[in-house]
This record gives sequence, structure tokens and C-alpha cells, in this order.
Amino acid sequence: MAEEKSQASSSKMLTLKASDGVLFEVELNIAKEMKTVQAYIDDCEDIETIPIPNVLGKHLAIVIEYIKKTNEEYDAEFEKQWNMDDLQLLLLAANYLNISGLQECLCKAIAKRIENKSPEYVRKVFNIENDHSPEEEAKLRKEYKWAFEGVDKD
Amino acid sequence: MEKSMGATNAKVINHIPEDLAFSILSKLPLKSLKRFGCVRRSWALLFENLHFLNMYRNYFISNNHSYYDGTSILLNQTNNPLSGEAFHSTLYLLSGERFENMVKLDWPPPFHEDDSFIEILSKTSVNGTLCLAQKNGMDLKCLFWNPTTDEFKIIPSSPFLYQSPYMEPTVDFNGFGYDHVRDDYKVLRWLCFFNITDVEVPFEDYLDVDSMWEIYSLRSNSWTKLDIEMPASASNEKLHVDGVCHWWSIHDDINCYDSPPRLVSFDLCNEVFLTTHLSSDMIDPLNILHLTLLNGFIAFIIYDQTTTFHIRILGELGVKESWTKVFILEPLPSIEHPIGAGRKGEIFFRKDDDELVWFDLSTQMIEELGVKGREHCCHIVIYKDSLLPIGGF
Repeated sequence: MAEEKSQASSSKMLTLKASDGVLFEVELNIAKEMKTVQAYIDDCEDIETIPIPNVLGKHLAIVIEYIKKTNEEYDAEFEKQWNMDDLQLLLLAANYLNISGLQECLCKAIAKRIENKSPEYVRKVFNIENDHSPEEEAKLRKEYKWAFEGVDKD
Repeated sequence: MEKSMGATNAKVINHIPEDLAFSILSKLPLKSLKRFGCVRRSWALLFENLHFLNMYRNYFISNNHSYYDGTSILLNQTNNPLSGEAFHSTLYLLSGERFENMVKLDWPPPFHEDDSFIEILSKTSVNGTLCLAQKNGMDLKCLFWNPTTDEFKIIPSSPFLYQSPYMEPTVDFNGFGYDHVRDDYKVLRWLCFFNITDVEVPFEDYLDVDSMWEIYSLRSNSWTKLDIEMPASASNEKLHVDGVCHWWSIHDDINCYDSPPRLVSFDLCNEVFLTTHLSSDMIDPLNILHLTLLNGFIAFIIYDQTTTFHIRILGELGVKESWTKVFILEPLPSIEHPIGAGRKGEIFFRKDDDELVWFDLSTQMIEELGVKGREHCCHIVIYKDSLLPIGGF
């Protein structure tokens, strides 16, 4: 299970074009792990270059590498290399390309990083605006006082 | 580390849509989720959002807690005898994806003559060892047993059982577990004494009731009196996780009855306890509580006379507001009561026709095990085998 996924039977190559124009030649069976790409192929059989408009070359490279190498050991070490911004962009990429294994891995990684953080930190990370009224928020903080103990300082 | 393609783009592209955010949130512990309710309004109502709740449930069920690594399931079953027949406890090892393999295990020799009402303390094993107990009137049997090696070790009698002027006490085996600080196996027990002079007096008028806690340590091979005032158990559901014994009680600290129900957690290492009250919406005179461990989390299955079972997971020990409604099982017709939980979101029940069944939380399917059992006398045990000698020392 640890070996890379290239097999002689699926040696047809495909080109993926990232949003910044970077081109990637991948084997068909690697590309098929991206359900979005699979759908593209199903629609137009002899396509050779598939545009991936939402994903930068830098991230597409990481995604392709993941598909080739994924296993329990690889996944455990995978997320450690990326900062929070990259993790989120990779998640958006995995979501757009519809790669469920990678999505799970990234969601777990991001969850682990925010687990012990404050609400302010989380808002900043996800660029969320607080739509609670001050009274609402105060009420929640009081009601769940126990949930605020031992939280990392921002 | 350089940000991608210019810092200005990063913030624009970095917008994780709400349903992806839910995917992330569904993998967080309850404490984090309650705190993040402050982030925005929609996150304060996560458990009322069916979309999120489904994600949370799916992850909860599929996430394998390390507690269950290398474990199997044992069923301690008691028959429902016809008049004249005897009671027998039978131990089965359940295996297979759908528990289709049931192997009967023989009890150790001390129980060969009388195998009625054998209790497996705390429904757990420590290094492959189970703690078995049987109360037969004046005869108390308690021993350690490793079903894999067949080794057993009888626990000596306690010097505190017979104390004048009291009659022999009511004994409640409260828990069995592991003290990792002293690398010791411990057994916790509650003794309740009645004054001998009250023998003629109706039960309700007993004035002189005394109780005490005692703890057995394998290393010292002796029972010690515990100087502690702790609420005794109100049921047969007693658990052990990570060196802490859990049960629930309706007694107060000095063991008067009829206090609101709460979880009692006794730490075997430092021998202190913590109570966690139930939230007010869990308490109803018509409710029946069943304490269990669900995928590694302390949980209550709450039911009444209807066919609906609610499951509340404890978010944080000691915090009564952290009991979170996670699952509702309905309708489960003919199901009478739970008998325990498995390793991956299976909940075992007994039906009104005595059939023992299991419910799969992920598929919502019910399957019969092929064995019947007596009401409130059947239990599921999570067992991890080992070839180590008992006590490992």
C-alpha cells in the first residue's frame, strides 16, 4: 500500500493547468483521484489539458504529491510542513478537486491547530466577522465559562 | 515562509465556506465547540444544525479511540430460567464484523460449581486480566482471571466485613482498575452495615446504618479502609477508564437516598473522587439512565417507556453543562434496555422477548445476536487480551 500509484495499465498522461499557468503532467490514475477531474474526463473523453482555475501551481503540486504517496505514515507527517494559510488553501483545493482523503486529512490538521485557541484567534484565521451582539457574546462566555479554561494565549 | 502569490491575494482566497468550516469543527472536542460558539451566531447553534450534527455524528462513530485498540467484545449473559431451573452466567467472546461468531468461554474453577450471577467488575480488563465477583448470601467470591492464560488469583477476604455489633453487610463491588503510578491493580468496594439489634425492626426504621469504602491492592494483597465519604452506586453500570472508576448515584455524600442523580468518578491513583451533576433537562422522574462508554466517551443513554433513546456525551468531567445531546435513537420498537456499547458505535440492547441485539449507529440497523438474556443481568465487556501473568509482576 505504500508504493506510489503508477501502474503500466494506466500510463495515459494528462495535463493539468493550474490557475497561474503552471502545467503538470500526471498519469490518468492519479488524476482520477480528483473526482472533479474525473467528471471532466467523463464529459470529454479525449481531452488532454484540463484547466484547474481555482488552484495555484504551488498547491496543485502538493496535492498531486499527496495522491501519489498517501498512506497512514505519510498522512501523519504531511500536515506538519504547512502553515495555517497554506493548509486552508490546500483544503479549498482538495474540496474543489473533490479528493475526500485529502480533505479529511486537512480538516483534522486544521482542527488540531485551533483546538485550544480563543474565539478571536479562530475569527482571524478564518476571516470571520463576529455577528453576535456584545450582550449575546457575554452571555455565551458566562454560560460556557468552563470551556474557556486553559485556552492558549493569543 | 513566503505567502502564496503576493500577500494581498491571501486574504481574498482564504475564505473557507461554512460547510467546509463545519467539516473542520466536527472533528473538535466538545469543549472547543462550546467555546467557538462565540465566534459567530451560526456556530453557537451547531448542535441544532442537522447538517453539522450529521458530520459530527459520522466522525464520532468512525473515529477509533485508542482505548479500543486490539480489543474484543465479551458478553456476560444470564439466562431467564423457567421455574425450577437454575440461573447461569455464560461468557461469550463475540467476533466478526457482525458478531456472527460467538465462542463460549469457561469460567475459572472457583465458579464451576456455582456459576450464577457472576459480575465482571467495571466491564473492562487490565493487561488481559478481568476481575470477577459473586455474592451468594454470606459467600463472597472475588478473583482476578486471565481468560487467555487461564490463570486466576483469589482475592483474600476483607477484615472489615464482620464488625460487631453489625450483621454481615451488604456489599457492592464498585470498581476494578489500574493505578499507573504504583503499577497496581485495585478493587473498590462499598460495605453497608445494619445494626444487629434492628433485626426485628422494619427496614424503614433502621436507625443505625453505617457504611464504609474499602480498597484492595494487589501489590499489598490486602484491603484498606478508605477514609472517604462518597456516594454509592445506584446501578450496575460501573466503568473504568484510564485509572478512574465511574458510576452514578442518587445518594448524597453520606449515603442518604434520593438526591439528584450524578456521575461519581474515583481516581484510583490518588484515591479522590469528583462528582458531575446531570443537567436539569436530563433529570425527570420518568427517565431511566444507563451509564456507558461510547467510543471512549462517558455517556448516558436516557430512555423512558417510549421507544426513543437519547444519548448524552460528557464534554468535560465535573461540568454539568457539558452533557451534550448527540444521538437520538428512534423508534426502536420492542427494545427494553441497553446492555452496553461496543467498539465502533454499536449499542447492545435487550428486547422485550429477551433477545439480545445490537444497534449500529452508522447504519441504524438492528441485528439479533442469537442469544436471549435476563432483564438487567447481561453486560458487554471490552476486553484486551494479554499473555502477561496477573499483575505482570
